[in-house]
This record gives sequence, structure tokens and C-alpha cells, in this order.
Amino acid sequence: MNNTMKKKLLYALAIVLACAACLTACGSESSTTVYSNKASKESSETKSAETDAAAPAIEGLTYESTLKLDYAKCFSVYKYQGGYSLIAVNDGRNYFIVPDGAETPSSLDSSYIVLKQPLDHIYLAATAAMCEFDSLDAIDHVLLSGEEADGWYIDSAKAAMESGAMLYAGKYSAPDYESLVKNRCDVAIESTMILHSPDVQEKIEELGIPVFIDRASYEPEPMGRTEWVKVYGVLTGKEDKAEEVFEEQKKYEDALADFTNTESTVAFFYVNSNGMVVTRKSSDYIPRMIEIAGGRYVFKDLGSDDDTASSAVNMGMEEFYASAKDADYIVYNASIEDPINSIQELVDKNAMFADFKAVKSGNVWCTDKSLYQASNVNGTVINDMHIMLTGGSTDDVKYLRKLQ
Amino acid sequence: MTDKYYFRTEALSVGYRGRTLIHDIDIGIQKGELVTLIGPNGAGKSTILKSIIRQLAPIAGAVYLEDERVSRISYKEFSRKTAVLLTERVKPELMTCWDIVATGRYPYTGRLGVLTEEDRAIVRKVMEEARIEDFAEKDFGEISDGQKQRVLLARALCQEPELLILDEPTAFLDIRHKLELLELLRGMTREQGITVIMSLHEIDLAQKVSDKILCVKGDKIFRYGAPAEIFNDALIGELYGIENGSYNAAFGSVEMNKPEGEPKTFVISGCGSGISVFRGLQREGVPFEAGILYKNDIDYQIASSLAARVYAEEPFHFIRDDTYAAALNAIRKSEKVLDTGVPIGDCNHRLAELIEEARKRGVYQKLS
Amino acid sequence: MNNFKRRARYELVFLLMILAFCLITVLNINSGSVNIPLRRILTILFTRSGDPTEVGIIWKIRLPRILTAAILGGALSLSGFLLQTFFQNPIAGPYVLGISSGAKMTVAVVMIYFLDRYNQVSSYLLIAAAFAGAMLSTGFILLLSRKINSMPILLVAGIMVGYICSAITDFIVTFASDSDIVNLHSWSLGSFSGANWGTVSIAAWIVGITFAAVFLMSKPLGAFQLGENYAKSVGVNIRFFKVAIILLSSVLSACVTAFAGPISFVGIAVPFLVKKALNTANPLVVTPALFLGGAVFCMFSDLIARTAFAPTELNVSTVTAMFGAPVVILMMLFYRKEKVG
Repeated sequence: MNNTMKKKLLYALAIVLACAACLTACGSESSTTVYSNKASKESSETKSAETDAAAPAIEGLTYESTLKLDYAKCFSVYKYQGGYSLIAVNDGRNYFIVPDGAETPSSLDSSYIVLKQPLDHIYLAATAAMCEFDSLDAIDHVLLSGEEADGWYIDSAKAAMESGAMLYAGKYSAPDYESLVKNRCDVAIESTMILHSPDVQEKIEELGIPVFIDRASYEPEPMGRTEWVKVYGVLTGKEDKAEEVFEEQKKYEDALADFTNTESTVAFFYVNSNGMVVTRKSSDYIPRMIEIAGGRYVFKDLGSDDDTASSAVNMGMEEFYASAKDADYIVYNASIEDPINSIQELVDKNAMFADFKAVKSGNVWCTDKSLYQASNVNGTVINDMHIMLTGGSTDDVKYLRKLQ
Repeated sequence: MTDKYYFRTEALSVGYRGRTLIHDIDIGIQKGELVTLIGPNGAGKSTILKSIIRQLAPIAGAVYLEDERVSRISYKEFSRKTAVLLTERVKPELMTCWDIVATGRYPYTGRLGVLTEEDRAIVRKVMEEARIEDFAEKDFGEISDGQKQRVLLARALCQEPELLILDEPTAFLDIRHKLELLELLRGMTREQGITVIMSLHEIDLAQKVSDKILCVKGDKIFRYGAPAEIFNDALIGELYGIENGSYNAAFGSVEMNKPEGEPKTFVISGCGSGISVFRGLQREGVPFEAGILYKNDIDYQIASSLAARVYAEEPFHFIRDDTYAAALNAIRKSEKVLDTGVPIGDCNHRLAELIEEARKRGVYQKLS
Repeated sequence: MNNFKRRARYELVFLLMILAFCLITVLNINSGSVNIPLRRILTILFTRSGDPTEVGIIWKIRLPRILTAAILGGALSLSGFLLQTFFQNPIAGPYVLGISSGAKMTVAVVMIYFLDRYNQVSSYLLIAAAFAGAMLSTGFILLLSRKINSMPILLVAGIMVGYICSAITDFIVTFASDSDIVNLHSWSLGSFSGANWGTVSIAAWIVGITFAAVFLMSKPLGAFQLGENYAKSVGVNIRFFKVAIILLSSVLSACVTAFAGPISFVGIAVPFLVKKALNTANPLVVTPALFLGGAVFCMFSDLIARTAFAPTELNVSTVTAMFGAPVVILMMLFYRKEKVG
């Protein structure tokens, strides 16, 4: 009896181990492609390095031209005969755009990510990029959204979701893979947040969907961010429209080229739920916008010793008070926490605000909540700031509000 | 008489964490003997037992089982020779009594611990011997302490041990179960030749059931020998440091302390009639004298422990003059004389005179 | 005699569990945002042919996820059982020795420091980091167990190790940006969504081998149920046994934490339910039953997590807590009743 029992048990164990082996075999059938992880590791050391001035040679294709860029530093676009383009982003990822109906060159560098036009089944999980599609009138190219309908401030996006033309497919960290596959998603446009969830990126790529990582927020110049509309112009085949849109915005900055700075200081911050003040590093694009608009950021040299990618700086009220109480203007950043509707609400957050010069003189402004979804209009925002700094008519201001 | 001991220790020192509690333990036990360790609380009885069963490393010296050093025997081999019953409360989850007893077969089962038919037969037999088959299917947590001990003992027996070690096995049991358990143990030593080493607090039981007694006190073995050698009143008192009572080795019983003070009461008794009276007076705290008691009378034993003075006579003698004179003197000084109704015959006819004296003084009281 | 009754009970429970397993597998395979009729599913499963989209969905998305949930669920309940026997405490869970805190700590380090400086990490790096962190805690506990002989004190030590790791993690988080914290938080709630065949096979091997090892330890585990001293007296090598149990349960918990993040309650609720159902704690019977039970529980929870509010996905721990916590409460009540009554 003991022997047969033993045999039975050994069989059971053998089955368990055999199952494990089977699963390995099953798994080995499907190949997982890992996109340019190696390449990005090598080039990531030089984060803000300019992409190679010499256009990469592609066998079988003749190089035509390089897109002229006025402010953007984080990408380059090379155009080739036949309508092919190569978007080289400074994180080491290279996106090769193949026009509708054209062949993909056979000897293409294997690290290039191939995007085949038309790209009209886009999964957009980088919420900051929706505005680009809006300004290009290309909202219809986005089929799947990483944000629910009520999370959008852009009317056309909201309308598309409400009508069912755009579907919610889960947020960037937990997308509905089945929906992506069923709806034949042709590219997943992600923000750099996806880097914190590498397993999601790998899964999307495993399903055969290329991943495009939007890096507009890494542009040092505010107009550089806006210039990313040209990238999306290439992706959607609306390059002319992109040029047009960009020139519109550029006008605002060009108009201020000769303006003498008012030397008024501006503080830009918000108060988080822990009572800490969250403001920006001096190297961030918002201080840069303030400068272009004709003002000075209240912090001369904040965060220069911190080499992490994040541009937000947390500080306690005491430290903030010491540096910023004499700022001429306060602009409250409402794009992350709730906006404030009156100066009193600011003082309610912390009584010390009452001593600030800007509060005493009534120069407290608040940004629109939708600011983070509006990087396509940085020119307009600069203009708004200029109006604020020069005491212009508050009716003309689009993305800022003066508080009472 | 074989010189070869089944179990012996050689200069064994035991203790915890390098600190010696008891040193130089040299004892030898024959096969089939039942040895009991007695001694005050914290003396080290458990420490010695734990060292023997290899749950505690000895600080020095060695333990031998049939001339083989125990430390050289593999744990598996050792568990086939030695089984234990410990004081700790066992709290198994969802195990029936049968399950518990069956764990005793572990030294004999294969890789996965599956029981063969033979193993099961042994378990059944052992349960019968321990008289626990009736609650074999009951959850262990549902039975009484006495039954639990029997189950754990049955478990130990399933290991088919030659040596059984028990640490205060009767601790939580009532008198009936104490006797049952000890009877069971004794039966095992007789019929199966199992050697038993255990510790007990009930010294009266230890005296009755053991072949040898090991007294543990201080940092050495106080005494080791047969019960007859060990159990005398003085030794027990010294071993335990008894101050509030005394131990009667002959009876194996314990008596409370003598009442203090000059006795004013005299008890005339005999043939056991005085025992309850003596104890009653002790409880009241009333000092008394007792007489005239023959030394072979059971009253004499108790009176020796409880009375301030005993007037005793040698057995099988007529009451002699000096004895009588002393008793009479005492009666003349007493305020109360209690007569427990001892039968008066030829030998002790002088008791009648004592009673008469008491009556004359008006201090006589007859207890019925 | 009553062996018969017992056998019958075991067979019944196993049968029910296998049925539940099959049912849950079918349900799982059949649900998702895309509707694929069962017949087509079967064809795809057995012949791997059909509409490439559907084949992709079944083979690349649903199957790996279901299998991961099953394997890791079994691993968790097994780990919980081991620790409960070890500490003779029915509320010891797989993370009581600080495993998930250790894993979270190393994941936090990798997420926050590496990402900021190197821009890209592969998911395997995070998995390896979690595993390393878990085994770090384990190593520390093993060192402690050489000095500490009392079980309750070892349990406290384990909890303290958990606190230390949490404190270090909080310290690191203080200097992190908001985006990093969000990700760390959602990692620590556990999810099966990133499963692919690579992770399935690795998990299968690790858990399979560990399961076999645990099964082979059924005998000393059974002996240990009477307590350490009695186990020693029947010949169990206690030193080796303790180390083995800590290691095995840690490997199981580490595996789960690495591949899916910490998932709570499975390790406490399932052993309780399974033991009560079988009415025994005999490891030979309980081990496979637990594995099955854990697999079913986890697959069920994952099903709810991904379908209840589709396409938004709940974290698995949320669901296991919803179902598991009432079970634990019931268990506490039961436990007190048995002690008092």
C-alpha cells in the first residue's frame, strides 16, 4: 500500500514539473521585441545632447532635407525621397515613418521603430499631446484615449469621447490591451511616465504596437515645446498645417524680441495637500516664459544643483516666504491642484501669504486648470503674462485670471 | 545482577547558556527500571531531562545508552529508542486524537510520512492499551487534560521506545487519572521492559511507584537510591526545605505544622480514632498532648507530627510505670481531656485510670 | 474505520475545487473587453489558428494573465500556510517577515534613482529588484533566527524588519517627484496586468520547484504541528527545518511580489478556508489543496478586478481584500470561540 501511494505521489509531482516545462515551451513561441532599449541606455547619458547634424543614411533611400527648427532641441526630422521621414528623438529612439501604401525598406536599422501611415488608430496616453492634434484638426486620428471624457479640457476631444468616436482604453499604467488589439491600434503615444511602468511598454510592444514617447516637456524653451506640433504634423501627414499653427504662436514671442524687461519679479507655485509649496526650477520652461514675457522669475538659481529630471521643487513655507515675499506678482499654478478663486483663498491656505508684496498690492493671478493640456499655445500664454506684467486689459488674457 | 547499566551518565553537567545548574551527575539505570526525579521547584529536574533527550546541550560530561554515547547517535536512531512526554501544552490545529497518536510512528515511516497498514495496527494497539480508543476521532482540543495526557503517552509509545522520558506527566491530572497514568507506566516497565525516567512533584506517589529516586537540590545530586533509602522524614524535609509542615515517610503523607504554645489539652486515643481529632485541633491552632499511644498504633504516627508531646509505649507491652506517671502528670495539668473512645484491653488497662483522674478533676470529655 | 469518512471528505473537497478551477478558468478566458465566442476560443486554444487579432488576444493577453494569477495565487496560499505552521499562529501571512516591505524598498530605489539617471529600465530589472529586496529581508531574518530561538520573538523581529524597510522607503519617497510616488503606490497594490509568457514560465519553474520541495517536507511539517520540542523528539532536524521553511516561504512570497506586486489576504484567507473545508491540517493533503484554492481565489479576484469597471482596472489587492477581509474577521471570531468555549 505504501509503495503504490508513493508512486501516485511521485506521478503527481512529475505532472507538476511537466506543467512548468510546458508553460515554458508555450511561452517560447511568441517572440518579444524589445525596442531600442540598448540604444537608449547608451545615449541617455547625454540627455540634452543635440541629435547628429548629419542625417543618417538609409540604404535604398535618398536623403532629401532636414526640417528646420527654430527652438526645439529634443528632436530632429529627416526627410527622404518617397515621403519617408525619420524622427530622431534625443532619448535615442528613432521613428521611421512609412507613407501609406509604401514599402518598408528591407535593410532598415533594426533599432528604428517603424510607424506606417495612415496613423489613425492612435492610443493617446500622453494627455499633454492632445492639444497638438486639436490644433492640427486631427482629433479623428486618435481612436483610443488614456483619459476619461470628463478628464479632457479640450472641447473637440471631449465631444469625440461623448459621441463615441474616441474610446477610453484605460490609463497609461493599465491599458486595456484587448481593446488596443481589437481596435487595431497602430501606435501608442505615451508620456515619459511609461518609463516607470516598463512592463506595460513591453506588453504593448509585444502585441506588435509601436510605442512613441512624447518628450515635449523636456524642451528647455517654451516655444520648443510648442514646436513639437511639427512632430505630430509628420505623424498625421499634416506638416503644412503644423507649420502654419507654429508660425501663429511664434509671432507672440517674436513680437517681444525687443521688449525691455520690466524687471518685475514673478513667483509661480502651488500649495500641495501636505502644505508644502511646489514651485519650478529656474531652468524650467515656465521661468523662461516669464522672462520672454518681460518679467523675472523670483528665484535666480533654484534647483541648479539637482540633476534629476523633475523640474518641480518642494519647499517649506518658511523658505518660500524668505525668498518670494517680495515678488511683484504671484501666479498660482492651478493645473495640478484645484484653482483658487480669490486672494482670500490663498491666504486661507497659509496665513503668511498675507505678508507677501503681491498679495498686499493685489497682483495675484491664477492659471487656467487646463494649462497642462495646452502646450500648443505657449505663445499665447507668454502674451498673457506680458499683458499681466504691463498692466494691459484683462479681457485679452486667455489662460490667466486676475484674482480679487 | 548485571553490572552493565542500560542508561548511565558520566560527570554530566547541565545548564542553560553556559551556566551550569547541576554538575557531576553520575547515575546508572537498569533496563526496565522506573526512576523518578524529585526536588524543589527550579532545582533543575527539567533541565536534566531536557539534556538527556538532547533538547539541551550538556555543558560537560556524557550520557550513555547501552554504552553508546548519546551524542553520537543520529537523531533518527535516537527517536526510535527514546520517546518523551513534556509539560508544555500542545495546541495542534484540526488534529484528532488518532492523528496525534499516529505522529509517534514518524521515526518509522518513509519520506512522506505515509502510514502503512502495519503502522496503523500499532497505533490501534497502543490506543487500546492506553484505553483511549473511545475518543480516537475527537478533536484533540475537545478532550480533558487527563485524556490528553493519555493520548500523548500513547503517542510516545508508538515510537516503540526502550526509554521513556516524562516531565511532570501528572501535573494537570486529578487523583484518579494520576493513578491510572502511573499504573500504565508501571505496567510498561513490567511487561515490556521499558525504562522510564520521569519527574514528579507528588512525592508520595514517587515513593510508591519508583524503583529509584533521584533527589535534585542545589548544584548537585542530593541523593540517589531506592525509595526505602531516600524516604525518611528528615531527608524529605531537608530536600524541600519544609518549614510549614512535615512529611511522614511511613505513610507517604504530609502533615501541617504543629500548633504553637503550651498544650492545655490532652487527647486519649488509639487505633486510628484520634487522627481526625488531632487534625481538627491543628486546624484550630490548639496545642495538645497525646497518649498513651503504642508505637505501632497509627495514631502514634500522626500524633508525632501534630502533638506537642506524645506519651508513647513500646508495642505489645503493658503500660509501664514511668510512662504512666508522665501521662498522669500531664492529665493533672490539663484543662481538657478528650477521649476518642479507644478500646481498652488488658495491655492498656491503665488508660481507664487516666480517664478516672480526668473525671475527678472535671475536665473529661468523651467524643463519640 | 473513520478513515473512510475522511477519504470521502478529501475527495469531495478536491473534486469541488477542481470543478471551481475549471469553471473559473473558463470564465476568465471568456471575459474581456472583446467578445469572442467560446467555440472560437477553444479552436484558438488547441490549434492556434484563427483571426490573428483574436489569437493575439487569447494567447498574448488572456492566457498569460490567467496562468500568472493561478500560479501566484497558489504560491501565496502555500507561503501563508508555511508561515502559519511555523509560527503556530493562524494570522501569520506571507509578508509577515517583511518580504513585501523589502521588495518595495528596492523597487523604490530602482524606480526613483535609476530612472532619473538612466532614463530606461526594463521590467525584468524591476522584477529582479523586487526579488532581491525580498530575499534581503529574508536573509536578515535568517541571520536573526540563529540567535533568536523563541518563535513569538522571531515573529516580532520579522514585523520590525518590515517597519525598517518601510521607513527607508518613506525616506526615499520624500525626495522623489510626485510621478514616481504614484507609480510606486500603484505597484504596491499589485496587478497581474503586465503578465507575459516570459514571466509565466519563470514563475512556473520557481513556484513548481518550491511546491515540490514543500510537498517533500510534509513529514516534518506534520511533526511540527505538535510544537518544536515534540518534533525534535521524533527526529526532525529543527535547525535545518526552520531555515528551510523560512527560505521556501520567502521564495514563494518574493516570487509573487516580484511579478505582481504585493497581493494581500490570499495567504491568510485561503489556508483558513481550505483547512476548515478539509477538516485537517495534514500537509500531504493540504498542500495541493491549498495551491488549487489559492489559484481559484486569485483568478476569481483578478476576473473581478479587470471586468467590474472595465476598462478601468481595479488593483487585485482591492478585490482580494474585499473578499478576504470578511473571511479573516470570521476566522478571528472562530478562533476566539474555540479558545474561550
